[in-house]
Amino acid sequence: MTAPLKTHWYYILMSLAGGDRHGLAIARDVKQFSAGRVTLWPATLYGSLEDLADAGWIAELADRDLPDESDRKKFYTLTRAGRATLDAETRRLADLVKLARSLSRRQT
Amino acid sequence: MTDADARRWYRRLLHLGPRRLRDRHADAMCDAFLDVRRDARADGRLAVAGVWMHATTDLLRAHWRARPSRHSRSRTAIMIGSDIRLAFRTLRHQPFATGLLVLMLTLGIAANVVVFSLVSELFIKPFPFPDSTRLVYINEKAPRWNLDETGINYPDFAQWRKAARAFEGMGLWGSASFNLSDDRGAERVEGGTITFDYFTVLGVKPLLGRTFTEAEDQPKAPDVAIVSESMWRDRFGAATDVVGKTIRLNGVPFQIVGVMPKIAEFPSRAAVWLPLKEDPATTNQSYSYSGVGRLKPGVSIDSAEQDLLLAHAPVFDTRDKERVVSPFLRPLRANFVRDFRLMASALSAAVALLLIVACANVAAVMLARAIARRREMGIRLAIGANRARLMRQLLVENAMLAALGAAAGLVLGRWALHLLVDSVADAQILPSWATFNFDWRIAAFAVGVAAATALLFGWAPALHAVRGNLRGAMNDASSGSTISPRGRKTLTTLVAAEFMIAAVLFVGGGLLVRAFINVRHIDPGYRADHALMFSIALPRASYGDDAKRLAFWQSLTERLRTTPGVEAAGVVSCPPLSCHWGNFYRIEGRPPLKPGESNPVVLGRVADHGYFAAMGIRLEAGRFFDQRDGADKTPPVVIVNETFARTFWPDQNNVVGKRIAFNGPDSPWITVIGVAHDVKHYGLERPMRPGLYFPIGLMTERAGTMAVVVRTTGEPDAFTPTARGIVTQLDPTLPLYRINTAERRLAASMQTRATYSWMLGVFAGLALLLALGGAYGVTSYLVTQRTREIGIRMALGARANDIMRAVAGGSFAAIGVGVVSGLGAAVLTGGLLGDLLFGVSPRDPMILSIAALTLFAAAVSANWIPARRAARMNPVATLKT
Repeated sequence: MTAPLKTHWYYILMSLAGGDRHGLAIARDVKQFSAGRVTLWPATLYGSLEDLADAGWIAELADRDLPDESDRKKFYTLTRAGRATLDAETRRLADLVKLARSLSRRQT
Repeated sequence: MTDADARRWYRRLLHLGPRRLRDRHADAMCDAFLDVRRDARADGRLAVAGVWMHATTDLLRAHWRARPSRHSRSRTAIMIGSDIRLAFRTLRHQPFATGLLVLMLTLGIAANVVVFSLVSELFIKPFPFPDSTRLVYINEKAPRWNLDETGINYPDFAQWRKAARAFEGMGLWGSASFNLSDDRGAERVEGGTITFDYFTVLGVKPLLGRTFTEAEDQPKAPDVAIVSESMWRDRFGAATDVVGKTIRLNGVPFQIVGVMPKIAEFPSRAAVWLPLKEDPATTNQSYSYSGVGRLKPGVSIDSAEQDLLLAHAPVFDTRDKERVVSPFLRPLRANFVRDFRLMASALSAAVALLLIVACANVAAVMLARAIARRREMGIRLAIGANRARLMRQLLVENAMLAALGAAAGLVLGRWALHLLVDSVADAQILPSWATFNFDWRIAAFAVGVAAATALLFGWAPALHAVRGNLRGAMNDASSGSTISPRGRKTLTTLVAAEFMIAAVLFVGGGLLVRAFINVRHIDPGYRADHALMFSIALPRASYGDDAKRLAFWQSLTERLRTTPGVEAAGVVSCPPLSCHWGNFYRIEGRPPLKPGESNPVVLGRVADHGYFAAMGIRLEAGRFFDQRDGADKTPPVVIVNETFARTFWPDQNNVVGKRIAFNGPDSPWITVIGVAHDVKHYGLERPMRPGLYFPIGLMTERAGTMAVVVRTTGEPDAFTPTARGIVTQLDPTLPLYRINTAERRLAASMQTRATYSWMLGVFAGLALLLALGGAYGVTSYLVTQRTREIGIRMALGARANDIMRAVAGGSFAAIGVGVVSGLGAAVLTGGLLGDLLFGVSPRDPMILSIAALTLFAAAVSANWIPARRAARMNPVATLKT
């Protein structure tokens, strides 16, 4: 079984699974699908992006031609390895939840 | 705050985070932050503040995450180890500079530890009683009698206790001492008589047994006593069944009902307490007790005093229609540290200045040292040293210096504090409740300040060297060319400031030492040499009869006088520097005092005919007592002092034969037979009061406790066993107490002044020493720096004198300005020392000129040696390097 992924990494990977985004958009995404419970603070956000890029799970997109005005923004995309990690973590969590459910059912 | 402002502030905050993030994502991070902030603004100010806080911790935590991995951390450890070794080597190669810096830090820290430990114990730490801020000292004053504290009159107190509303409780204490005799021999013990609720008011619970009950505090109640923890341990071996046992005081058995813990030994070292047993109905009681009160929560001292005055009003209406005596309050602690307040602030100011000098000194030497090392830094950078590594190296070096200085300072400070407290312990100057422990908070403060200075000033120039461009640094420092005028100016300014502060301290110390010398030269009014003094108290149980008491004193003095080695012997009720018995008198032929007219209180003493010779008191007019004075059926006589004569007969030359009487309609006239020289009864620095002496035969009822004075031909201490033997022959149950020589008693009365004068003198000396070291260190470094310049000057024909002027001139002028402004500041602030100066003017020309001369001499010598070394350099050698 793989080691658990840091929660905010998992959130970032989930956000990028829905398409390429820049940092601010990722933060908004995460806030939205955690219903406001998770705030990615700037240093955590960009620190994590750096770490994820170092790990090879995401990649920075240089000079991507977008209709957006913000050409100084760096865009990030999920790599193949990143998607694999995300899927593995989702499976791990799903297994965990399944196990917990079955145990609690047996007890009641 | 607008978005633009927030962005600017956050951008500054980014410096808390890791550099890599800042470099790569600064703008994006600002955007992300503003986005969060915008969301939070909807939730109000608090939420926005929370955002800032979160953002800050977020950045700091990112920093932590970005720390090197475990592997490289161990590499760091190795590198720091080598840094320490290198720093150690560097410091050892410069023993002079190292020693100088460590010494400065040591002295500054040690002085601060000592003084602030004293101040903290006396003024800052809470009194050892629960809720001590609500405790007040109560006494009465009589401005018209010239008395700040009359002592409390029991009926007054009873009235307050009934009527005052602002107090949770109030109690009285009076000091007393007892002859304690048991199978282990006779001993004199200090004690107190207290109202039953005294300990309840203080909030002290007994260790064993109980405190007194209200019934025990009534006249004719059974004899009960409470003993102190120390007596319980010493006399009763800490036996748990001590309650219920009896103790013989003044020959009377008392049943012990309780044992009080050590903090109850207040305000003096009481060993046993008895109930006061006063009756408010008794008329004409003396003013002799002190009071303590516990205010109700939330009541201020002022309003409590108003309340007390209100409660006192019936006394004005009945007993004291002239409204002479009125009660007052003071915080309890303030009452017992009054004497120390001025002294403590003077000493605190002095050590704070000393610490500033020490820090300025460290700064100056560190700066000079760092400037001198710019070349080393340049070379190390040039051959590829890592800047961060270099900074760390300097940090380690300075931290080691600071640590050495701090450790030595703490050790020295602790030692000096113990030495100081022990040296004054015998004189019982410091209050007994104060325990002068080494205070770690103060130590931490002093060390922190000194270390911060060392690190800051050791680092700043290094930062400059490391940060600046390499070529500049190399060129600048390459072959030992002269440092920039700006750098030199900073250094000389620091040294000048040091001399300025040193001048202030030097003058302050000098003034106090001068004041001390003046006090010591005051004529006490008696001969303190070759006089042994001790006290004997005759218990009422066995000496209740006047004649019996008189006979005892007569036979004792007779035996003493006929003992070989004794020149004179006598007894007195109140020897100099001890008790007070005050009364008011009428002068014959003078109309009775109008209401409101001031009538100074007169100090009364009872003496026998041998006392004056034994104490060495001179006669100014008339005669001393002889054996017949005071005997039955002789006319009553009195001897007055010079102040009495001057106060009551200001226009008369001869007062012998005049008559006085105690206040009161039918008291008999007493004839003045002599005028005695003024004796400084209350201390050398205290003002004189009118005083008089009654012959012992006239006042036998006051002759229960007397001080015996023996003038010896030899060493007075050596006579003690003989004196003890003579007393034991007369009555083996009588203990001798307060055995001391008059000389030591006099010295002890000056001990407080001696201590702080001496301390301030030492601080002044230290400041001078520090300034000297600083000036010397800085000039030496500057000379080393200017080697090449000096070489060129010499090659161009400058003579030794020119060189010396060039080297020393600048800093000497700066020091001159420092000293002069320091002297000016000292003259201006000297007045703050107030009473401590004992009349010495803050402009005392002798002290000022000594200070000026000493400081200038120090400045000259600090500059002279390095300047001479510069002038003697071989120009060829200096240019070749």
